[in-house]
Amino acid sequence: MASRPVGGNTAVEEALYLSHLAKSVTVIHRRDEFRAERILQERLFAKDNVEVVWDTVLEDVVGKDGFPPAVTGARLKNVSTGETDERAFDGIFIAIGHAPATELFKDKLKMKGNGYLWTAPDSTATDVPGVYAAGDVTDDIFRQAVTAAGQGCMAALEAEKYVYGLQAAREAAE
Amino acid sequence: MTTAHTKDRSQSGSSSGSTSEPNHARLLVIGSGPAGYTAAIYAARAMLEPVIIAGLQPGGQMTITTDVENYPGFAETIQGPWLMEQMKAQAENVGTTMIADTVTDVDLSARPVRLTLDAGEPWTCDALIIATGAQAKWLGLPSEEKFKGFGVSACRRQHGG
Repeated sequence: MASRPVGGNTAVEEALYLSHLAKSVTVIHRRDEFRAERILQERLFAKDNVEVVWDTVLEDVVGKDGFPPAVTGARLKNVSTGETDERAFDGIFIAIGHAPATELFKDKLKMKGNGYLWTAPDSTATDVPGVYAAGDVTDDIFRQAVTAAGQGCMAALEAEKYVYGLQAAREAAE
Repeated sequence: MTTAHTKDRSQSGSSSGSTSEPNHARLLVIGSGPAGYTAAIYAARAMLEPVIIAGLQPGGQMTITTDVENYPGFAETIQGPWLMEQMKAQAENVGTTMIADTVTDVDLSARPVRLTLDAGEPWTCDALIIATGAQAKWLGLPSEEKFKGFGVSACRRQHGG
């Protein structure tokens, strides 16, 4: 089986994983280098069954209609020469990163330039009192299960302080 | 002893009239990945009786992750979906209310903060934790959409994620 991931950072890890499962793997990358960790790149380049196609984007998925439909290949475009080329593939993996789920909070919460929720330094507090953000919706750097769990813990501890503060203020007012 | 409660859509559905007060939580969590469950575990132990609105993908991105080798506490390789089942059970066991629904609107300027749900009644809360996570990006090609699930896939969450 020939498979191909499309993308950069995420793509290197994905291609390494797929190289154990597929007969051959082609990585299509729009730039002329990867930003992935050096050790992962070295591992990828050492694989006999992995080919990297640089400066190239996926223009179209090519396949057979009917039920079920099936992928047969892809039309690729070299971004520096403009040339297009059709190649045969059995599967295509899109690995171009992740987007935070922030639609609900548009125009309601402060966001970072890249669309992730903003939080105060060393805190999970957003710009609205009593509202906290934790995990991949705000973390554009680490994005690990264990860092998400850690941020969830932080958010709960900060929220606890807020809620009990609110309660104390209410009781004092009564 | 378990103090967990599980509500499904039929229970939290619109059985009462519009005059009823919305459900109120001292702490409400949107999202059910590692951040959401951990927040609920800590909040439950702080006696805040947290409520989780689980969202479209209960368990989050870890449920599409296979081998997990970098989550501490497990000497052998574990599976992402299994890890999330454990986190959910832990959150329920310490007193989290799980709601299988999706938030469709939030009013963060209201006090208390008010949430509209897709199927069930609205909720208000004293504090809100947003743990809605992230999703894989797509190129946005019509041909990509057409063959999604039939040879075109999003990548797995990064190994061990």
